[in-house]
Amino acid sequence: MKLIVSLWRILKFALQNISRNLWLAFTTLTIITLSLFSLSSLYMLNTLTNEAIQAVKSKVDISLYFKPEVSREQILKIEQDLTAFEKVKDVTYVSKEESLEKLRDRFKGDVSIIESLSELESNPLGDTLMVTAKDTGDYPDILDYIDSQKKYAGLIQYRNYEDSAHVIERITDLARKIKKAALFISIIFVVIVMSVLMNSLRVAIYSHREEMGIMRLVGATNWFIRGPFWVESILYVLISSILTALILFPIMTSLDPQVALLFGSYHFRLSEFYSAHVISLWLKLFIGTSVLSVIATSMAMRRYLRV
Amino acid sequence: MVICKKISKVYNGGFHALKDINIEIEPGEFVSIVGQSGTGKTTLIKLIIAEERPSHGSITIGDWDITDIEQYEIPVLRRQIGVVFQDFKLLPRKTVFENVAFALEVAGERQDKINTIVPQVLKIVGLDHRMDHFPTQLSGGEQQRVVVARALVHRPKLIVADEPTGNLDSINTRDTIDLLRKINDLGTTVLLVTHNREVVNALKKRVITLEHGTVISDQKKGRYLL
Repeated sequence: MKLIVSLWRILKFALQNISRNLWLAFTTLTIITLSLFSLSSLYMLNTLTNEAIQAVKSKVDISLYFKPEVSREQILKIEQDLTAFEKVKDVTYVSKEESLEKLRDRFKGDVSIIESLSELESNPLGDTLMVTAKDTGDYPDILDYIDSQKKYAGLIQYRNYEDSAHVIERITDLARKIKKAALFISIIFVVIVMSVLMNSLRVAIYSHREEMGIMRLVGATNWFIRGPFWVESILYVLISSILTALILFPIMTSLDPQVALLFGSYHFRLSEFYSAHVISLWLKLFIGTSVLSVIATSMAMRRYLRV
Repeated sequence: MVICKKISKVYNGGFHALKDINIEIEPGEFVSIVGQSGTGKTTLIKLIIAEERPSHGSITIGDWDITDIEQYEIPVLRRQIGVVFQDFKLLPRKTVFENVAFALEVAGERQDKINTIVPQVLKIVGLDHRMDHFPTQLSGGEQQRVVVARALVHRPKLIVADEPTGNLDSINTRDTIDLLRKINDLGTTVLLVTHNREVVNALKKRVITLEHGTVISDQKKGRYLL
């Protein structure tokens, strides 16, 4: 019973501290909200970067052009083989008819090519398999696998990987560098934001330093003194994290058209991603920052409780 | 009530604030501790409320030897002693009612009991009409009466007043001392630290005089000697 009474009093004192110190509460709340907004924006920027890399990677594939005389059944058997290979994400079959159609479509403005194609009695193109890897780094292994399969020998007329190998290598390298840089910048940014946040809480505690000494002299235990300040800092974080989550909604929606232009046919919308992840993002922000603020508050209070 | 046996307090640098002090205070006594600034009066109070620890000797409050009191026991000790400070030490963001109630809240008293007792105590000190005011809205004398009410509210057996009239004019000084005397008449032991000659002489109670950290006089019905 006494514990419940004490907990109720701690909550009451915390709310009193906020309501009777509105200016300090407003300042602290603003700083924490800006800090959390910066962290969330950084997270969304990282997501955007990763998605952009993913979008570029998704454009890369290996095209296997089969000789015209290779039967559809043989190709579908190879498609099954490749689909079963662990590093392959997807295999798409494109028939020689579709290939010819695509060729006509691609060169529809070039009369000489269109006329040449009409002159031909039969379709000179073969069927094609487009192979996508789970990771761009897996393409060499997939090629090794294809080369090692004796049953494929003589069936493939041409494969395009060598043409795009250099591009894939550069994309993979660039993605690795971007991720490293993003991690480095994120760590520095998080450290800066966290120190700002911790210092704003320290200032709030500093303004109460004399009260803590008085409370000790009147017979309050340390946890009875700390309690309201812990609750106060958690309330600040709770309000700030909710505000941050709400502020980000319209911002993400307003960025959607620009992001859609950037990604083209690759489907990625910031607002959709944010809506799907807002709860987990909010929980991470709230729990992480609450723990940090309780630690910062306790550290700041320690020296004032030595009475 | 309070027994100090051969207590000394040596600060860093070898400064002796108190040297071999022997004091025994009976329950219900009103004792004035007098002496010039820097003679160790406030150090003695700090030792009694466990704000500091003696370098040598022992201190007993009631039946409790607090010489080596554990950190977690200090709040329990302080809830049994009422302390009145010269600089009031009121919580600036709490009302008069809340300041007095705080001494009960830290001890986990029930709210209905607090709501009954606090107005009664504020009536005793003549501040029942100022319950909802903040300390900054009160005069020095009124603030000191709030401090006395806070020291009194949990009915301690010992009240320690460290220069309670130091920041007050003569009228408020008289009111505060009268209040302490009334509390003493009701059976509470009062330990008053002061260097106010008029106050000590008017009280006609026990006077312990300190000089350079030692007791130079202990009179049953004493006067200010220095």
